[in-house]
Amino acid sequence: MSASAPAVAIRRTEPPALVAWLATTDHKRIGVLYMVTAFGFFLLAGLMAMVMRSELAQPGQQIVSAQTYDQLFTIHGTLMMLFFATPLAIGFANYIVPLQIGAADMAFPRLNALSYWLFLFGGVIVLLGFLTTSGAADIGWTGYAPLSEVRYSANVGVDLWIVGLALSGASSIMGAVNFIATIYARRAPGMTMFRMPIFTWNMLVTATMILFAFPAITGALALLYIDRHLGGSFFDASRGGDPIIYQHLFWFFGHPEVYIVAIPFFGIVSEIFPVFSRKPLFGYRLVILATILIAGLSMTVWAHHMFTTGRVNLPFFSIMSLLIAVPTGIKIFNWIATMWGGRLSLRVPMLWAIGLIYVFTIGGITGVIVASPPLDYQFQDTYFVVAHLHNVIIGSTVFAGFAGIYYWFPKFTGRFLSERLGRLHFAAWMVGFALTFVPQYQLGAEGMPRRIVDYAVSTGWGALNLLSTLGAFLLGLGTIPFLVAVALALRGPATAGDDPWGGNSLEWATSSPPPHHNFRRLPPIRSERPVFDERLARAGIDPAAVGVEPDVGPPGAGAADVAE
Amino acid sequence: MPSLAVRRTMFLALAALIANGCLPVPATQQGRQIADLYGIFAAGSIVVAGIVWVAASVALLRSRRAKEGLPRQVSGNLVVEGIWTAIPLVTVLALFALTVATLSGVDARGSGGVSLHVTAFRWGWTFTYPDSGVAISGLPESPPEIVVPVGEPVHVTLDATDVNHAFFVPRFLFKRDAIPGRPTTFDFLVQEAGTYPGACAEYCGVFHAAMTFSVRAVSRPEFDSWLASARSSPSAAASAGGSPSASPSPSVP
Amino acid sequence: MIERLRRQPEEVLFFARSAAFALVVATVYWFVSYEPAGTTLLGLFGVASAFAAILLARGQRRAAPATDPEAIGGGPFADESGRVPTQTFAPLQVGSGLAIAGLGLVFGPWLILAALLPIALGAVTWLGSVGAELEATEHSDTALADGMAGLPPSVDG
Repeated sequence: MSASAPAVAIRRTEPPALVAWLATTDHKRIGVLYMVTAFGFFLLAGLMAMVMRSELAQPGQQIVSAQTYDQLFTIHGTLMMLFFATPLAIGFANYIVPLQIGAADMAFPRLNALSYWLFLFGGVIVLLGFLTTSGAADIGWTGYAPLSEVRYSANVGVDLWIVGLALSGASSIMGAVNFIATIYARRAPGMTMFRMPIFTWNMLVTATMILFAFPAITGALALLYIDRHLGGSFFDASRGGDPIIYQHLFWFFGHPEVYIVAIPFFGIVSEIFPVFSRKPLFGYRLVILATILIAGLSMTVWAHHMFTTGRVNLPFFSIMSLLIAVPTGIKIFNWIATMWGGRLSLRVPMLWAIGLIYVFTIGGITGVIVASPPLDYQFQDTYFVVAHLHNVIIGSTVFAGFAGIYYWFPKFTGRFLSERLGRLHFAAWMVGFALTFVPQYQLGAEGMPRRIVDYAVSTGWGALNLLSTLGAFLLGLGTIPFLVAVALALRGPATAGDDPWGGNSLEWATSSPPPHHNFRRLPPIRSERPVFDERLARAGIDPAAVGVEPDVGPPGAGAADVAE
Repeated sequence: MPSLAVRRTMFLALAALIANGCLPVPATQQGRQIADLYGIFAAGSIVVAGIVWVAASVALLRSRRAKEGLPRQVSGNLVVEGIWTAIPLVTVLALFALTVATLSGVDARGSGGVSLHVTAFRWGWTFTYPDSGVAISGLPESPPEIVVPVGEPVHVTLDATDVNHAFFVPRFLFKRDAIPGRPTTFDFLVQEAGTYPGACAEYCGVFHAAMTFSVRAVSRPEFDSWLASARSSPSAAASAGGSPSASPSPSVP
Repeated sequence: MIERLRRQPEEVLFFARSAAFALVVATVYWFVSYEPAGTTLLGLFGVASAFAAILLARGQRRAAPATDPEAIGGGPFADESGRVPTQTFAPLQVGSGLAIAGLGLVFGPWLILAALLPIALGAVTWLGSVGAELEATEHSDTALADGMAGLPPSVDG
């Protein structure tokens, strides 16, 4: 078949809608599939959280059995981390990265489709456990050996969990290779590395982390499978194995994973702050440097999850963990500096981005607290850590994820999401978030362990748990306006136009939604804001008059003439 | 600058308040050191959160005064970026120094006192006093209670027989994982007499939530007489030498 | 060595820095902890980064226009850096095959046999269309060289 045939062929014989989705290799469709599927897993895992919170609302067991509860928190954590947060980032990136770098598609479109299918099937296989007689995996999302060994968890749900995770891990690695190749090889002429939009930069860093971190868990899962079914004893101390090795392997993946699900979303708000402040990102290069530093350091801090094992070097992992606060702080301050003196437009995407600053800061600070081993002695495996991790992940992934959906929905569909419903959604989540997780910090400090189905009346934890449960229900109800907004928008007319927000990067230089091969023409790329530059030129404004600084380009490149 | 000193004192007082409000009152020497360290971290946290929230709010409020048209396209400022790189760096290095100092105190081993061997299993505990041969074991329906002397170090060797567990007493502000085949050691020194509830903190299976125990700290003479009675009539004080490998089938309340 | 590194583009430096960082940390970690698992993991992280950096540095002779700050692009979109494939069921077939094979690890090896069919079916389609595209790309490259200006793949406008 000839290379120029596809576009024409699609035009002539419109295939049925289902085939168009199942057989697609278009990065935009795959991106939508990723985002919709990930959001489906998010809703499912969120409902599981609400069941768990109902159980914990009062001392005594009321709603579910301990067995069911254990399955719920295992699958909740697994879905949220590996089948919601990571794939949502990959979904955004699938849609946006090729557009931002001015490419027609990903470097390997078929591999991209395969990544999606493996992710979807992996998630379904993990959930299949609920249909077996012994139930889904009940070993915690960390799957610590020896508990996950066949002697203690013989249920088939654990094997399904292993296979599902292995498939999604393979999917993530394929995705990472694809993103690195796309960003390296398919950028438009003029799109030098330091003219790439910040979201694309963040995805490059994320993809690199996936590439180096995911093999560790794939290896751990393989060893666990060998232990369970092929007579191995990698993690069985009674037969010469070492349970600690599992923790090393798991967290060598698991800690970078926390940043894998945060960095892309930092990228999203790093796009939103400049656009809604009408200013360039403050310290573009320093933000990139901070991103790289966060990624590098995050690969070296895994054993801060193992402080209480008494078998890791505490000062090393403590200082590395504490140091991450520095580049993270840089990002937050640079976002604030971007807003400083800007003409802010408080549309819904910007609300979520600003909300992120307020919420994520608490997560960052409590992260510094648990990075100190003596303090972690108290907080490890308590609700303090539960609150911290939800604070960090909701603060970054969910807040920025919603910001990104409200921001790019007009690009995806040509339609705005309702501003009014968006504000309601945001307000419910701000209040619900505080109500759910602030009590959990206090419960954890008082010593309530995580992953318990019940607690005694004498502990006095009932009132705070009830508050937390009410908060969780507010978060659940607060999601309804969003779903309504999406349904209404899809029924409504396309009124958004190509560039509704006054965007900076190339995705705003094409139609909404973009044509099959993305662009009809590209603006010249002289800085990290080609669309802004072109808008300025059209309006006849001298860039120097509004303080636009010339692009310095890479070291050694002639800078002055590039900026004209 | 006096106002700075005043402000710093205020912050520290507030932090102390939060430390006391958040954490349980520490019952051990080690716990006290941890609580002190937490106070400093809490103070730092309030300062940092305050700075970020105030700066973000001011940036928000200032934008109301923004003029129509394009604001000045400032793309960075190396001096201010250097400041907000350097100050957090110095802060975390200081916090690290304090952490290391506290760590050496918390992990220090005392002399004298009592040895205690703790073995965790699904879903209970066996506590053995190797010097006197007394062993206490308990399952969820009758959680074990150990007795330790006040004001003397207790040297714990912690182990597990099946899966990972964790020895956690909230009032000690301390926990340590019990990992099969990988015993660890630590000390605690209780400063106040009293009974302190403890629990398994590492998820270990279906009755994890019910895997509790308690630590009763008494004076030395009381401890000695308890030990003597436990040795002569094991059943009176506790079920001695419980078999950890027995598979229990406790009923969860 | 340093001078040669400095002349490398950012694409290479990105992985080179990652390699240097990981190898330094791995060394430090070994001497503060003598813990083999973590040292191995960090070491492999460094080696993998170095591998990527070296591969990229060797491939740099064919520099892409994107690395040239003078080539600012603009104008009609003619993405000739790769051909975009048409719709195909191959990824779905391979993916479902791999998923069935994975279930074979849980429910029995016979499922792995059952998985061979969709995997083979998908692989044949996949490799076939890759070959066809390669041919088409080479053909249009020749056409370009002949001055016939190959049609950009995005001609739906």
